[in-house]
Amino acid sequence: MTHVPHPERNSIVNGDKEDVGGVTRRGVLAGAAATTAAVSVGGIGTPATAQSANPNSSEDMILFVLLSAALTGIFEAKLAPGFGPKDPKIDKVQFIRNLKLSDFPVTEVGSDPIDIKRHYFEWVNKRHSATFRRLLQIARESLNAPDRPRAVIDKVNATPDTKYLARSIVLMWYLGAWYDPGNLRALAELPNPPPKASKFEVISPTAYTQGWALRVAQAHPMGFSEMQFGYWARLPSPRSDFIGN
Amino acid sequence: MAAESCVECDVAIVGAGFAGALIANELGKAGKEVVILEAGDPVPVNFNDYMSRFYKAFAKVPESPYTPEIFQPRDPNTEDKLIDPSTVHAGRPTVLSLLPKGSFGDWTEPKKSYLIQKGPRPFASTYDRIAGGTQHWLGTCLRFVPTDFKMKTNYPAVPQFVDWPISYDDLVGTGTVEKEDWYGKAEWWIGVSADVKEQAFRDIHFRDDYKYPMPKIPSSLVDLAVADALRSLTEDETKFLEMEKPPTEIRVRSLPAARNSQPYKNRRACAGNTNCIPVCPIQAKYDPTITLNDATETGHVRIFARHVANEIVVGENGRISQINFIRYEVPRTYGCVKAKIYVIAANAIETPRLLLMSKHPDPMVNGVANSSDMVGRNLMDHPYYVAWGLTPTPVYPYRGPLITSGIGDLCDGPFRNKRGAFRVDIGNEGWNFVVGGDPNVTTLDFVNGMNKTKLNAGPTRKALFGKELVEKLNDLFTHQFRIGFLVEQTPDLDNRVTLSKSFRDGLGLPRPEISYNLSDYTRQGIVAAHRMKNLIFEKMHVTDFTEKVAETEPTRFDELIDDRIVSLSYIGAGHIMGTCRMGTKKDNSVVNSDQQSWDHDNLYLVGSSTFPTGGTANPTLTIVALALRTAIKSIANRV
Repeated sequence: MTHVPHPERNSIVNGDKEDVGGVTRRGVLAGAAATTAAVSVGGIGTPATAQSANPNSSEDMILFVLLSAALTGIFEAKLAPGFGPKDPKIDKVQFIRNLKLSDFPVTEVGSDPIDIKRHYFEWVNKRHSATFRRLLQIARESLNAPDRPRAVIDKVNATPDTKYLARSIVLMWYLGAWYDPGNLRALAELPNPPPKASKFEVISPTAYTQGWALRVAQAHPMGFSEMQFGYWARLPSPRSDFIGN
Repeated sequence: MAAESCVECDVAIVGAGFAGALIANELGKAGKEVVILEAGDPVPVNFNDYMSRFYKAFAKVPESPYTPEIFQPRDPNTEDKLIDPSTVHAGRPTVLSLLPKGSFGDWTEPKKSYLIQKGPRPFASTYDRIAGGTQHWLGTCLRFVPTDFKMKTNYPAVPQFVDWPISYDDLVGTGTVEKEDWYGKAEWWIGVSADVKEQAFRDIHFRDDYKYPMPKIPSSLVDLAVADALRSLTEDETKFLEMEKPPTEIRVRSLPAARNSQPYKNRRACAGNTNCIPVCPIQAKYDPTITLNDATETGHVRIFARHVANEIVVGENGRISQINFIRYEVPRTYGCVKAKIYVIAANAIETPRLLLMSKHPDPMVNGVANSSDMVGRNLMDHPYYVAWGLTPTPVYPYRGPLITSGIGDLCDGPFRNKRGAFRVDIGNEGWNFVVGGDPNVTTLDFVNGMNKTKLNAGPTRKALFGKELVEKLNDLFTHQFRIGFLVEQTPDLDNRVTLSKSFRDGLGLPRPEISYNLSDYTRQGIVAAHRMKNLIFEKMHVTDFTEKVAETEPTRFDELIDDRIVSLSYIGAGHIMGTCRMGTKKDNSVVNSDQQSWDHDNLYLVGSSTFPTGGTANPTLTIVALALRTAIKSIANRV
């Protein structure tokens, strides 16, 4: 059997070279390159670096995990295996749900060898450092909210920049792929978005295998089953076993 | 081009796919010296190279794990472009080159499509060019039913049909002449999981005490949902099928598959990766690289990758004297191989292409092995009609092998005097390929407020985060349902592979030119499939989301069904057959029942190109059975 992607729904695009949602990919890349250059000069306290999130800061990484969990609906310790209280005697679910800034020093940010969260953190930070910083700030401001995910989502939705970068981040976790926020904005807002706005890239082979979309469906990324022969003849485990929620 | 050096051996084989690898191995085991010329790249040392390419591919099409490249190098500032086939050494058709005229992958545009498609409809199947490159097959291992071998005798109303020069009984050794169980040998060689009792339908019979090498693959929850629905079919509802049998005969059966249901020949049991096409990550599914390893371990088989055979040379007495090749390493070199026996095991497009590229000493004969003028004709596929929708209760797709069961019983019946038969596939992969790459498309719709899937309709398109997103996607993915119908195609003389006079590949060789259409018989088979789809959806209470066929869709055709004009379409099944048909006479067929050329005593053409008719079963098991028969019964006795 030959699999033919649907002609009209084909994710490959052939477009013109117009700007997308006011942000050109060229511009975005140039910006990212400038940021990288500033960092590589030696980490002097230039404004660019001062504003950048830091993947080596456990505070920033905790905020990224909390932000990601709120946006994706997937439990923090599933996104970042090992995330939770450093003290194993403490109830993990309660600890994460009530996590306060004062708990950060006793929080383990994750211990899995794949460590896809770090890869993703660096990926976003390199491309959209200022907006990413704002997203982490939103996670920080929402720490004490009675419904943290709701608070994060409401604040993220308040401005187009944060909203579309948040969507890129969700797609990254779900599909292991990068959908540029400018492209997403064009797809969502323009009546006739340029075809190239549908362009995306798989972040890495590992990212693909860590995608959550089909785990949400109580299955697995296609081509990456961690299950055993014959599992398909039985009902799957409950959704919570897959995504923790 | 003068050859610089010549390799000598007992048997030269062109192509390292199913047939080529098996024949090489059989002859290697018998101590014969074999050389395989393989046009594509070699098998990578580490199988994970294929997996990395697949995981990283943004378009997870069947070709994605394999070379050559599908796209030109990516530029973030411009649109993606398909690679120009005129720059590729050993080109291949790709699914993305089958799109409507004027679009991203225009099927009529030689800068995008390796096949020069003359129409009037697209030939919609593809193939790979890589050693053992038939890895991207589904693994289904159905036998042809006995009637499939005698279509002219059984269905004389259809003028295109012919009989095979062999029968089902010849392939299981239950006839009066042949005593070898070639189908059984094939199933044991590649490792098929199935149940004899369940597969004994439509007169398929087995040798006494025959057992498949492994127990059957369990049915998926999707399969069970279809099976449940079929139990309530009535006589009235199924009258349109004209099967002259009660509807209880329409059953879901587990598909025999070359997929391990337990460890077999040092390979693991299937782990349900739902990725048989394009690649099984753990090789639980048989593929020819396994036999190529066995073959080279005999110490008598050599595989020359990146060696494109470009001419079969006819010597004295009409015997083949050598095959010339181009080796596209740097620097490019030319050579030839001399053997006692030559086997062309390319595929039903590349085999006739090579025969037609080669010169016959008689100027009246167009190419080698072609005194009948049948080389390249009767190109067939199983036009594949697909439909999709949402089930009322979860069926949990995206789990298990891509397909575990089907409805085989409609592959034969009195209706075959009027219209093509069909076989039904039940998809375990949700809407993955029908919407152009799920889970991505549905996820993007609900994260970014879009509606490509038509699932996010309504005054305001939903753009969700968090728990709402999880619940929506879980609900949709677990209810996705996809069904497909493989329709029988008549052999038609004008469905044809010839050589392009204008377009060449990266080695300067003429590219295949294809003329292709669907006969009324075949179209009526698709019409019956469409009606059966409606019936199954109705019985299952499936909400139909099958997209309306676009005006620009090149495979579209309109038919009057129940007083309404309905637009239908098809995709390719990858079952390329018929272009070097076998027969009983030199003047109307290319090879005899041993797949030996009528014109050239030491030339064999193997693979599904020799099938005179195509039935509805996927061709692989029959290719394997015939290849073993040719190797053991015929070639091994001659060298």
